[in-house]
Amino acid sequence: MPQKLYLVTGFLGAGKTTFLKNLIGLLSGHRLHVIVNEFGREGIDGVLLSEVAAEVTEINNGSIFCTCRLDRFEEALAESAAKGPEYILVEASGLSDPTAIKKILSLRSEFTSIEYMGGICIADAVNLKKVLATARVCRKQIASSNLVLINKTDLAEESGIAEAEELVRSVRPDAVIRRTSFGRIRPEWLSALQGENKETEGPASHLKDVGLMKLTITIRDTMTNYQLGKFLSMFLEDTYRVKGFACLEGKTSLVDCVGADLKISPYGGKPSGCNRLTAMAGPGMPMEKSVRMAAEWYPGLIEKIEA
Amino acid sequence: MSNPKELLLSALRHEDIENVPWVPFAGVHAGRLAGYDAAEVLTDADKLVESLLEVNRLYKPNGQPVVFDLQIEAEILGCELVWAKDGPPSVKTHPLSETTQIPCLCTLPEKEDGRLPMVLDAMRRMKKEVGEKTALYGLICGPFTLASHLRGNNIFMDMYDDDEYVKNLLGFCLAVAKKMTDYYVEAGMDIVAVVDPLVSQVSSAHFEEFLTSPFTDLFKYIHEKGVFSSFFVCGDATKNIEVMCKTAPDSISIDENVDIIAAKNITDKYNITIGGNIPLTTVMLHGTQQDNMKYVIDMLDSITDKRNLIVAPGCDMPYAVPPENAFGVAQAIWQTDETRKMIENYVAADEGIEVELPDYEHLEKPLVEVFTLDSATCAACGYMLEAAQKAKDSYGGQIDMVEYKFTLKENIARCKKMGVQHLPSIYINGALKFSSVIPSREELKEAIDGVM
Repeated sequence: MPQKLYLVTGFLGAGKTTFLKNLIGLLSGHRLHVIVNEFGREGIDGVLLSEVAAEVTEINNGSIFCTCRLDRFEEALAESAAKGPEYILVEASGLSDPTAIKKILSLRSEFTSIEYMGGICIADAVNLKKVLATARVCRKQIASSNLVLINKTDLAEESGIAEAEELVRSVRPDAVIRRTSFGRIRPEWLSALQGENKETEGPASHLKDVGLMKLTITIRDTMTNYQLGKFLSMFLEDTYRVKGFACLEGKTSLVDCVGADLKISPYGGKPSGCNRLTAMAGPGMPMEKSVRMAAEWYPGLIEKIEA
Repeated sequence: MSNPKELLLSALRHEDIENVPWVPFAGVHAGRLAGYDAAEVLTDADKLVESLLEVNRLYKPNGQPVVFDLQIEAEILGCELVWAKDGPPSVKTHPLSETTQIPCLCTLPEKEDGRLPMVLDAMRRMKKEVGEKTALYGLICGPFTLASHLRGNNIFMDMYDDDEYVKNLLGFCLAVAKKMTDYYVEAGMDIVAVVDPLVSQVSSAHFEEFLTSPFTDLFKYIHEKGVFSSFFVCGDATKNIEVMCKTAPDSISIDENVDIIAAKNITDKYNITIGGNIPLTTVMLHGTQQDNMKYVIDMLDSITDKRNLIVAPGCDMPYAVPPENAFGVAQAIWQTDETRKMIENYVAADEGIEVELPDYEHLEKPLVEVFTLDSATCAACGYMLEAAQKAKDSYGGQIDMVEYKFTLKENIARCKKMGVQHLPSIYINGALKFSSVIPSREELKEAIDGVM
């Protein structure tokens, strides 16, 4: 039986801990392991956890800002997997980069029993606009989530909630957005999360907006796969989607990134065109400027950028 | 250049240099080498100095930090800390989370506050012990990270709502950083590193709005004190490298999230030295010795202009990094060509080299085999061989002793056949007895006596 893992993200103060309590309640009756990256102000109620037979590992994150220091998370996850719970819930710290956590799951053999069911991002209806403007990690949290809960709607005006929804869509056009307050989650929202691979293909329905911008980026075959990943990472957050095939260092890869989520995977089939990537963005997004800036970091490796 | 420290200072002066300097960021990891946990080395000057001297002895660095803990200032200013055995402490409470009052300048750290007496004592002692040959880094918490320690994540809301407040709070944190600079320079630090991991969390526009001014001011201040400055950042700071350069530090240190080859083109444009960026977890903690050597070789081979370059881990090394991985890094820096060959030979060693292992079950006398990277250059290997040589001298003809250097292809094949994982190691009668950690005379004697 695979162990189902849900990743919970959200900026500090968005209501992650309250949400997590509700999620734990929803899964009561199952064996749970909860990995908490930092305790919120409220803390998790030990009584509640014992009622639902959940175990908690708290990661004392001394290097909280070092996204490179994920070894503690790796250890906690390995221990958790070894105990064989049915569900593993991971609450990421407010400042941690969820894309790195997802990468870890693919790195070690201990984690093959774990099925990644999806990321749930808790966004504060009142403050989302502010933190999205100032903290870069917020974009990444939304971009790598499959479900975004606009929380604390009881404290916001309808216009504010609608604005928050628009902001989420500007980062990830295909995001499933639900409104809630007090961190509540409905069972059907959770059961709709079916893992990364079973995601609906692409943000097509949201990309019909008038004013959609498109760029074709041609890269030279002297670029390495590592450089391609770094090059894309520099501007992905200013795009809705980047798609195409890369044929570099004798390997063919499918580039298929939604929002800031970098995804380059090996491709076994015959690619339709090599090293030409299509990038799309919505009105007002500084895609072209960002792509050109990224190209400056890789002189001689980007052949053309065309609108 | 014979003096290791001078080589690093030359790199910081942007001069042409014959070798690339190496700075292991062994903070809590230093404790591992001397048998202390993280909390012990961060609170006890004796244990800290003992640990740092082990770093110095085994890793032969051109420079090393004395304390790697971004919470020292925060603790003095009223943040509660949570301690860990295998990592630096983390901040638990933020004293300014509910108030927008700027702390009084009367609260700036004094030399007697918090853990500063311990830190300054360790700095002075390290200066005396190794200061002639090793450049010492004093690490201060950068103004932005300190502001977030004090204010919590509210600082991100403040940047939107109240930019004046943020600027004022950063002004206070800048004053703290200058005080710390004064103390650390007085205690003999050659380089003041401003460590501000949170910088990677903001856009370059916000960097320019809030951080350009305090950082420029701070680096100017450090420069006027007559020492070098470094700007340490963690995380994906790619887009901020250029604005960081504009604050004019002498050097910038980055982690694996930034492509160091591409970043060096930018830092070179500003004539700033760049340091980094061996991956902490995948390579240093979980990788093999060969992985570590290969990472450095690949990095050095990809950078044509070796000026303005320092090889270092991406950030504070994880506590449990196997020491042999750091030996591998050092070896790759000092003997790049030979190490490149080692890696090639390691891959090729399965091809046609027949090695006959001794008949360990029927030896006439105990056989001590020392496997080294190269005892002539790798410090730990030299100590390991020396320990074995002393044992050989004291036992005379009663034991046999032999060294196998990894520089020779047939020795690599032998290592593979024996299953030797870490260098240096001592095997006695074919069994692994000591790996990476140099045995004392008594320990080695006991091990030899055990098979006699």
